[in-house]
Amino acid sequence: MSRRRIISITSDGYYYLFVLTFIVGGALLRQVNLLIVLAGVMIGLMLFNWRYVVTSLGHLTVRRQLPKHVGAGEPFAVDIVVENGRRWLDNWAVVVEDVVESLTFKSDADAPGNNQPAKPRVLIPHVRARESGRGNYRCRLHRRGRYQFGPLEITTRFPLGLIQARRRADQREELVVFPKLGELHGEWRNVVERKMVGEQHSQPRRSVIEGDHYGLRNWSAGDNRRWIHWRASAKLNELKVREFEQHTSQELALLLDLWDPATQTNLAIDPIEYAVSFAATAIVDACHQNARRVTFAATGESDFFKSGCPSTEFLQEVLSNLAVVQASPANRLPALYAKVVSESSPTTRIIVISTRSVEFTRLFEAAGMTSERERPARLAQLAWIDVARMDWSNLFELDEV
Amino acid sequence: MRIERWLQYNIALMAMLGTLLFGMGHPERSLKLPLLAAFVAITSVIFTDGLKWFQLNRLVANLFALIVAAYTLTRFHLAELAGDKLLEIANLLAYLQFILFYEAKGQRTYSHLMVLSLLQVVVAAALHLNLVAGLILVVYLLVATSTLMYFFLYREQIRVEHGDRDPSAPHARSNASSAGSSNKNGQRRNVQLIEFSTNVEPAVARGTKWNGLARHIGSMAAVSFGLTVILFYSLPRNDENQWQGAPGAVKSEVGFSDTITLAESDLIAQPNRAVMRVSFFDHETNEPYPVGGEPYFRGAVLTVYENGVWRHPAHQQMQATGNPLSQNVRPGMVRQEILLEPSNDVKLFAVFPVYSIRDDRKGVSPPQPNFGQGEVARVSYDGHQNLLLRSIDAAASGGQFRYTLNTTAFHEGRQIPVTAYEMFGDNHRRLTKIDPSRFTKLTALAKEILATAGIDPSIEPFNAWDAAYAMQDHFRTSDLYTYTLDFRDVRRDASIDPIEDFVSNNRQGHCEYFASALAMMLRSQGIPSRIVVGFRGGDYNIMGDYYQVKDKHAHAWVEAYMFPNQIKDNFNLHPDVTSSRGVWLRLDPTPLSSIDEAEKYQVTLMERVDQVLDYFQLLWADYVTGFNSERQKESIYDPLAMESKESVLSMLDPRKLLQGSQPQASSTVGRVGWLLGAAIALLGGTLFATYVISRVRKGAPSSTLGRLIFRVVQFVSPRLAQWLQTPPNDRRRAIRVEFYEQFVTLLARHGITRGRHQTQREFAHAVASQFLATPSERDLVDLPDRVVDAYYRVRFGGQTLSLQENETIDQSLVRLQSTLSARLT
Repeated sequence: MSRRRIISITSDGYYYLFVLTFIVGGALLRQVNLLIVLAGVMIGLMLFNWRYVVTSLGHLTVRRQLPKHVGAGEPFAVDIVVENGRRWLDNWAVVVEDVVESLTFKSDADAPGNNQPAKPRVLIPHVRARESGRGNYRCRLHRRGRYQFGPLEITTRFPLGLIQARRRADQREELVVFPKLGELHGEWRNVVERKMVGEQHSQPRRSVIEGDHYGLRNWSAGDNRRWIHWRASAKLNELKVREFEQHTSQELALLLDLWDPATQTNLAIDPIEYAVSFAATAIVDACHQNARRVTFAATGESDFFKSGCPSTEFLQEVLSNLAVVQASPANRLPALYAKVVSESSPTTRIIVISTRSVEFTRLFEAAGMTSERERPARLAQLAWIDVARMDWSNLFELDEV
Repeated sequence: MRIERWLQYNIALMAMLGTLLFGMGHPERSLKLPLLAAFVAITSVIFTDGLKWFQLNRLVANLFALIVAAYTLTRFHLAELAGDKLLEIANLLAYLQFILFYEAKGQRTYSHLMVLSLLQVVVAAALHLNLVAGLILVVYLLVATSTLMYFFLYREQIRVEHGDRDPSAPHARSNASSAGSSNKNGQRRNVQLIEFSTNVEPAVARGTKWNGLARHIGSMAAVSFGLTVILFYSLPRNDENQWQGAPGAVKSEVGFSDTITLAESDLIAQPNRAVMRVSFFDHETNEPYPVGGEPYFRGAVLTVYENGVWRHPAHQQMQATGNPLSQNVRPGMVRQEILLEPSNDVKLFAVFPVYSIRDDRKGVSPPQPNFGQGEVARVSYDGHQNLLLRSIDAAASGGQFRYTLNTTAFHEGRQIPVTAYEMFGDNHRRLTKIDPSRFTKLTALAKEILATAGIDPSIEPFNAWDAAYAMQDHFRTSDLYTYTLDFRDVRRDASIDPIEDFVSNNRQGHCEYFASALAMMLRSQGIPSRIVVGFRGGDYNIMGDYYQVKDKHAHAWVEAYMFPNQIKDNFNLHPDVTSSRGVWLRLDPTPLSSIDEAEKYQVTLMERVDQVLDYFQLLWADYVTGFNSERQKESIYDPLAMESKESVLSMLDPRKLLQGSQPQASSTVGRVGWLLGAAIALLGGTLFATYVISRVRKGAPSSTLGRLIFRVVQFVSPRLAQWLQTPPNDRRRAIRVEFYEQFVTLLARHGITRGRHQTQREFAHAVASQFLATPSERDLVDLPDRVVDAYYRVRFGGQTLSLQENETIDQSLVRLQSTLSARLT
């Protein structure tokens, strides 16, 4: 903590001085004794205020207690602890000002001029001698990224607010804010379990039926014709398809492609943030569903690859990456895709959440997968979600910030 | 209670006291404005601030303010005297406060109310405030300090909760730093990037005992008082610019009349109102001069009697006597210091004869032979009418008036009955004037008295001295006369002179009748005589060694002129006086029984209290409101210089050092001055020592003076120097967890305390078992364990509680408090 104190007169102090000057002037010019008394008292009060603020900051130390990690949009409390090292003198009305600044959005063109550091303040009414006082402020960081807290500035104007003493504690800490999590809908499960046919899934799916048959349902567009239960359909005079018990434990590979610029869209959306939140929610969901193995890869300004069994550490590492991942115009997706494919088993479901659309043929070629024989299997393994082109609210919904 | 509510109470009190001060200094001493202020302050605190039933719209309030300003400024313009203009300004300040009180309050309103109240007190300070007002001023300053502190806390609360902007501002933003972000489904909009909030109120309510602030207010008051005393008494005064009070301000009429009209028919009241305070000092030693008996303070001299009225003659009818003020000081003089209460009369009172206090022996020549407040406070002597006068301006100032004169009237502690003045021939004729046809019985009575005394006026030299005393004794000792102030049953014979009636028919009267009868009796026998009106005696104040003279001490007596060859006892008057000029012999015919001696010497408790209060009033007048350059010199500078000089001499002279030194100043002024000087020196020394110690304890003193002092301390006491250099051990501190402290305090209030052998956990279990035993408290069984869990996590685990956990614990403690409170009821 800096030992340098900055003593200054507050705006109230200047106002007080103005009135005092008026009284002192009257007292001296006309020798009005009671005005001299009044002026003396006022000068005394001001000197007392000055002396008090000068001495009171001398033995104060301040520290901040931050949570380890928070999610974007989640409220949390930041505790400020002030310790008074004096033997006898209590401290009153100590104000600690913190500075909260986004490091991620510092040079972000997305937020020009809006990224002013926030300066929350905490009033700690009373810190007894040799004890500590505690206060907190509630904070909500609406966007993912790295945030810097600090430096702390401790000020006191007690007891009259005429003179202020400030002291800076160069305590800077970083807090990683995970992406905001949304809500996955039932259709997402279909995608994960290869039931969904999107525009990128015009190719026939694999014929392998996984799981045990347990019931019938109405046919819907996109259902594999092989699943049609012809006998029941004939009997009921409408198409019925067989439903199979799902495997709860499977392998999932999630690939986040943050292409910048994202595909131009007339929707007022921020596709990059949407994609990041989508990916984060999907990873959290996969870990909660006890997937057998989860692979996460992200491409943007830098590539990230992580594969393993779901665990807290795994999740935190992925979310930490997602907190800071940035879009990039560099096309490193094919290489990363190839890595994901090479590291995954053939049954692994690969879902790409992207801000663009690509032709799979070109992707495969760029990834070095030129074999025509394997192409159908690759296609069946892959699901492509272009967040910029379509409304995916049937899969994922992000609450209003 | 909310800080803002305390602030409102303080401001209301401040306004009431400020207006009361102004009302006390107002010429009319009217309570109308203070009562109105009290009404406005109280109703606004209840109905405007508390219940919010009535709040003036800002526009309407401004309109009212404009009307009030226009009204008072018009009156200001019409007022002729500066004092009246000042009063109009104070009225405007009061009216503006009244309007602001009924507005919805914010930072701006509070600060305006404080400043307006302060300015009102500034105006009041320029008026004449007595001791009671001074005490109220002290209370006001305490309340103002408290208000300032609460205003600071209120401002600080707003600053923390809302930032530096005013929350009442129409375009106040929320606490957030914003950036482009997205809403549902990523729809982009400009939202806040960082949002934060701080709610100070719970922290204030939970963690603070604001009553500890009283200690700070006390400290501030003490420090400010010390600094004020130093500033006030050390600031050089310039009497030429000294404020004389608002002209046209209050004028308290003194119950003294310079004519006598013998025509009372009712009960004469004896008001207890103070007229002046008189102290006597030995001019040589500066000691208080003990006076035996009751001193006579002369006011006016009346020589002309016509139809029951005594008056002094027209100015040109009397030849002037010499001006005693121009005479030099004489050995054995007694100094009389007189503080006259506010009066618009120019006549002054003193024990005669009077002399200037100019002391040629010392080569010191005071600027004027008069000592009042400022250059207009001049004292002069009217030799034609034998009057001591002050200037009209001094009388019109409305303040107290101080003057100091010497007198030779005392010998061995008693006022001698003769005064020496020249009398010219023309005056002799007037002073023996009597119409024998109107005073046949009185003349006959005079002859009878002289015959009884064996004095024959026809034999030269006429024994006027004994004749005068014989006539005086006739009135004082005879049972024929009765002293009374009740004339309701007295029926004077209108066909004869009242004095003739007094000596022959209705022998009842007060001092004026007795004095008149004696004066005329003396004249009937050819002895020049005159009536003197003034005051006799006063209530002696033991604390302050002074006489407090009141209206009830007004008196009339007689002075008879004795030619040099008629003087029988010159009472050690200066030979020059008696040889050539003759003397005035004071005769007081009023019977002694008119004064209840027993009552005079029995001082009741109330009178003692009154004396103490009066003494403080005198100190207030001397050392606060009337403190001027002269008093500063004699009370502060001179004693300090003397003490310093003696100290230096004592240090140089080991014998004196061993004997010690006693303060030499023994007069009231000297004593108080010495005490003030000592207090200032002590305070200054303490402050300096504190400063030096604090500098030294912070590290090696950097200044030359600091180093020098430290070296001296090191030389005198190496251990003290070592202690000074030891930095305070600031690491020995225990970290307390507030919510657990609160938990323990709550339980302790209800008699549940942790034993020294118990851990926190054991204590929690013990408390839980107590709760379990009481059906109404069974809900709380889990609470102690949860609190202790959290305590262990914070205290020993170094963890922090989440927001939800903090709130849960807060709620639990509130529940615990309410349940335990219910136990009491």
